[in-house]
Amino acid sequence: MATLLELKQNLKNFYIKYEFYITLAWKFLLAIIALSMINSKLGYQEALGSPLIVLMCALLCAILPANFIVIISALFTLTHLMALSMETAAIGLVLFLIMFLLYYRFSPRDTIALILTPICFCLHIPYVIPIAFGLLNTPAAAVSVSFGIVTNFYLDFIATNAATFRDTGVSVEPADAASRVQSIIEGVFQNKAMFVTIIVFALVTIIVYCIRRLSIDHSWDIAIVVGTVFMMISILLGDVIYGTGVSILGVIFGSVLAACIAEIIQFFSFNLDYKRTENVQFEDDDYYYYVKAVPKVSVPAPDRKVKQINRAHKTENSPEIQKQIKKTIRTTQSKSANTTNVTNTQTHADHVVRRTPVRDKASVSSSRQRTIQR
Amino acid sequence: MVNEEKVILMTRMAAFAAREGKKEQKINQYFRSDYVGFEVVKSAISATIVFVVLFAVYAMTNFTSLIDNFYGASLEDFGRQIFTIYLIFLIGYCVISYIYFSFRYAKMRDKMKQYYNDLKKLRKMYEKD
Repeated sequence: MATLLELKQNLKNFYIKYEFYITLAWKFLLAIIALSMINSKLGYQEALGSPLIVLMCALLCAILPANFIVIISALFTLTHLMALSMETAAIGLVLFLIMFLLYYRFSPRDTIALILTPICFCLHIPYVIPIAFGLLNTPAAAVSVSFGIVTNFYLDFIATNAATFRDTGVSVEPADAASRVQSIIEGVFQNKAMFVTIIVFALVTIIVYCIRRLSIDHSWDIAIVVGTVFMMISILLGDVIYGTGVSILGVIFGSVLAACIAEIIQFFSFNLDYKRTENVQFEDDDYYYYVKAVPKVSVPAPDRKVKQINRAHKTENSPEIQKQIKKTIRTTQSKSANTTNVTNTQTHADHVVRRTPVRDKASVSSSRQRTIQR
Repeated sequence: MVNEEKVILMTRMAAFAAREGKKEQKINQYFRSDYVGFEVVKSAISATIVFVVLFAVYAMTNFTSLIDNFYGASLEDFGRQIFTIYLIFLIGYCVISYIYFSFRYAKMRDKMKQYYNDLKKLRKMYEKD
């Protein structure tokens, strides 16, 4: 555990140091994954399949705000659908219009769920999404997740029935076009599996959010476990009632995997030491205060310094060497006076090795987090 | 000597100004009624566009039944029916927008009040010095 916390601290320090470049890198990677996924799933417009275009668009997304990834992905999707047929593109456009005009006006930060949900479905880890968004976001994220699910099912439906909707070059009668549109809408919106997934994911997001906000020890762990169990039961129940055709083993393993990933997310985003939690009470003229002070775990990253003193024709017991050793010990002891532990002190005539944990400013200044409850 | 309290205060204010402060400042330029009203108008336009698009899709997919209704019932009844649905949709969406943006404005005011209080505190600290 200590090693993991140390790793977390190192990662945090690394992130603080290179935040600008890391942000560029994750946006670039997310854009590459999203665009490649769209190309592999749809891929009807061959020009967009070129790695150069994907790379250029990803670079553009890396520089621009994160929401731009969603816009570029939507444009890629619509272009592919347009190459397939106008009807599929029209329905796609309507879906995106509804999402952007009706919902993302309120919560533009949530648009990333629209990208992440289909990506997770593609990677066969869809159950991570509701738990992760419940842990890291607000219950309103349930709406974004639902939009992501609709997009994913729509793209899946088009990909599997591409032959039916493909334009053959012969002019289509208006009545045929209308019947095509009707069959797409029926195919997507009468899919019971989609509705079961939307309802379950939305409920899991809300449940996980509510539990992790509770003022109880290990609330995040409890939220993950309860959310996972609820999701497993609900999806299997949905399969029994509506015959959604999900694989039971897939649901169980997928949910367990989702819980493991959620634990990793939880570890890196939130970690508290419950052993030193303090509950104190005091009062002023107007109120009584019941304060729960929960200290943050902060592990000092060890800063190993190796000082080598060469023998240089002097014996082990020579006064100069003894003086040097004493001086080194004194300096390192004074440096480590404020730290918690000093390990591996090894003095030798040839080598003086000391491991001195050094606390960085951030960990010292934010060593305690106080939660004040009135 | 460094005044730790002053440093903490200034750090907090600088962080706010750099992140949320810009957006909050923009909203703060308006009166509450102006801001909420403007956002509700934008919501009404969005809702109208979405309704028109949805109606077009519905008309496309149910073309024959729509034509039957059109000839079967009077034009006035048909129009009234569509208009009622539109009004319900529009009012519902505008009410949600009103609640959301009112809440958003109140939240902004709280944050700005906190920011101004910090500024006052800081000024007092400087006056003490």
